[in-house]
Amino acid sequence: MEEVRGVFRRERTPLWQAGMLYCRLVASDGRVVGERTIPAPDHVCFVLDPNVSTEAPVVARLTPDAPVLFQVRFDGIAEAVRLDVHRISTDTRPADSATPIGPLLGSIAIPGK
Amino acid sequence: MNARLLLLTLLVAAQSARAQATLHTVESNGPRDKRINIVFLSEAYSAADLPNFASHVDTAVTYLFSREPWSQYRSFCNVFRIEIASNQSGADNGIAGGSRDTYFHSGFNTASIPQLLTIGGAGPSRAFTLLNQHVPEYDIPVVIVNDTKYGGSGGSIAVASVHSLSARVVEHEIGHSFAGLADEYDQDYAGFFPSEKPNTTAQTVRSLIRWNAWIDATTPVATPEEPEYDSILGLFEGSMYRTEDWYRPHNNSLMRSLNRPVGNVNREQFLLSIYSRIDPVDSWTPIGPLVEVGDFQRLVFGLASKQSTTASVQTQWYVDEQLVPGATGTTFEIVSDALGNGSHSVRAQTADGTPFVRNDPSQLLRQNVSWSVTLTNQLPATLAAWRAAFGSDTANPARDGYVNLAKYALGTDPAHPIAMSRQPFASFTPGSGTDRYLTLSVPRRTRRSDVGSRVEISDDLATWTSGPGHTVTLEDRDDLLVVRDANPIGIGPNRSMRLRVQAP
Repeated sequence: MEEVRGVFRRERTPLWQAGMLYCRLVASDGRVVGERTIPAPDHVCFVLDPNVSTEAPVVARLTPDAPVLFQVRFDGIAEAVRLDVHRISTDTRPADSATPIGPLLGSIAIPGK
Repeated sequence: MNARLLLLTLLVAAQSARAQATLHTVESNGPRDKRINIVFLSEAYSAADLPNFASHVDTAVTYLFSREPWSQYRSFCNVFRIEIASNQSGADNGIAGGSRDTYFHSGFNTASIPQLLTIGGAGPSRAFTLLNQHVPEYDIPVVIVNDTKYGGSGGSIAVASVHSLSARVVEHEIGHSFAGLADEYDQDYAGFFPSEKPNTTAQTVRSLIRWNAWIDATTPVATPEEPEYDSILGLFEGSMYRTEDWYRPHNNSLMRSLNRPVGNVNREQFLLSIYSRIDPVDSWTPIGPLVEVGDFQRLVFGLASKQSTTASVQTQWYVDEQLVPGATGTTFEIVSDALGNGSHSVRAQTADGTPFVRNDPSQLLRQNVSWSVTLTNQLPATLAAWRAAFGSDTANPARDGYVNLAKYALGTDPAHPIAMSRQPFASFTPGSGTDRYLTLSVPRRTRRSDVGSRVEISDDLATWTSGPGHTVTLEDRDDLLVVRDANPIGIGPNRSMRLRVQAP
């Protein structure tokens, strides 16, 4: 975790799409004290080469062959004890907290908590 | 607002950046927290090549802002570039071939795809470190790779080479990383799992297609890949690395081929993505949502909204949730009496009416700014309300010689004797030479539109006149009327002035 100073805006309505990552900070009592969605950092796109008129389909792995790195920014929330990262599997955000968002990719303890 | 930034590393440990980086502002259109911040980082520029980076960025920026929606919303964006030199120019497997020693470890031929240009190794962490140091409020980070071979990639950080098509690659890639758009490619690539996106779907029931609002009723669904449908919206089969069962809205858009139109659905998503991050309104006054008014005031509410080049952002004001006809400016003024005693609301609704967006379920293009106003010591704002509250026009409950109608014109409380400071008073206005003019000053709470107020002059207390040749208006403000005699004193007998108030 790194503290940075900047002039950050408040979050408006975040995008919600299947495949994106949903990151949330969780307090010790289980409350969600911060959340963000980010485009999937491990979905690598490439542009087809317009210099090749009839580009032949090739079998390619579109997921990166190495771990990817991303970062997510939150307001300073002292209560957070861990960060959960989910892969969103729904097209719209569930109205209730009981509906699964998608698989949990990782749960990381906040250092010092 | 200071923020704590959580840097999450998935398996790859961050490495420190050692080279010296410099930040340059390419274009500033507002505070970073109220604008989309586009940040270009230099990659594979040797110190000798680094001066070229600025022109490469300018090329990309010029192209991006020539495209929709960016061209209309340029003022919504700031642009920065972070310059950092590499030990060598060119990317791995690039024009120079082989392996290169560059700051972000960029390379072509990722996953054996020649044009797939990515940054690897410590590159991403170094990019984030520089972003955090220089523009932590970044929204769209783009690494420009100093190699003329064609290529690029999306992901958390868009990457593009300086090939002549580089600027177009940047646009395509931020379609992914910023707007969450899918590739509209129909080449069948194994190992990729398609999913519903703003511009791709497996849905074939017209009413359930997420971009149905863009499909004309006469357009067949599915839509043939024929020239007559090339410029319209439909449901074209083949998308997201599938030849079948997955569909795209455009036959051939930016997310499928370079040198193509953005596509209406993609353009819509770009704009929704902008508005998902920044508000239509930058600031407003009064800053706080609660306003307390204990005396008569002219209340002024204002806001500063962003504006597209087509002036598509409009504001409408409401009082107590009732639309105020004609109140569409960036400021709204109302006298406190008009609101009246008690609690009231004033609301400004700012909305972007651009035709670029037809689907905005979250109402991202709209923002309401509301104030709760609590007022005391206000007087009725209309003659009808005045009469209802205080009785007939000729009544004088305070017994001070000022009847109700006069007090309405002056705006003083009929229940109490009028204060000296609120009474009309006579004086002399100097003219040329020794001339002096009899003058009547009339303090008033506000200008009344439902009664007539006129200053008249007489020399016999029987015949009263007003207007050209008789009186001269010196001041006619909302809170003060000053009128003098047209003729200097000394001509003729006694001169008298009066305020005549006439109800319709």
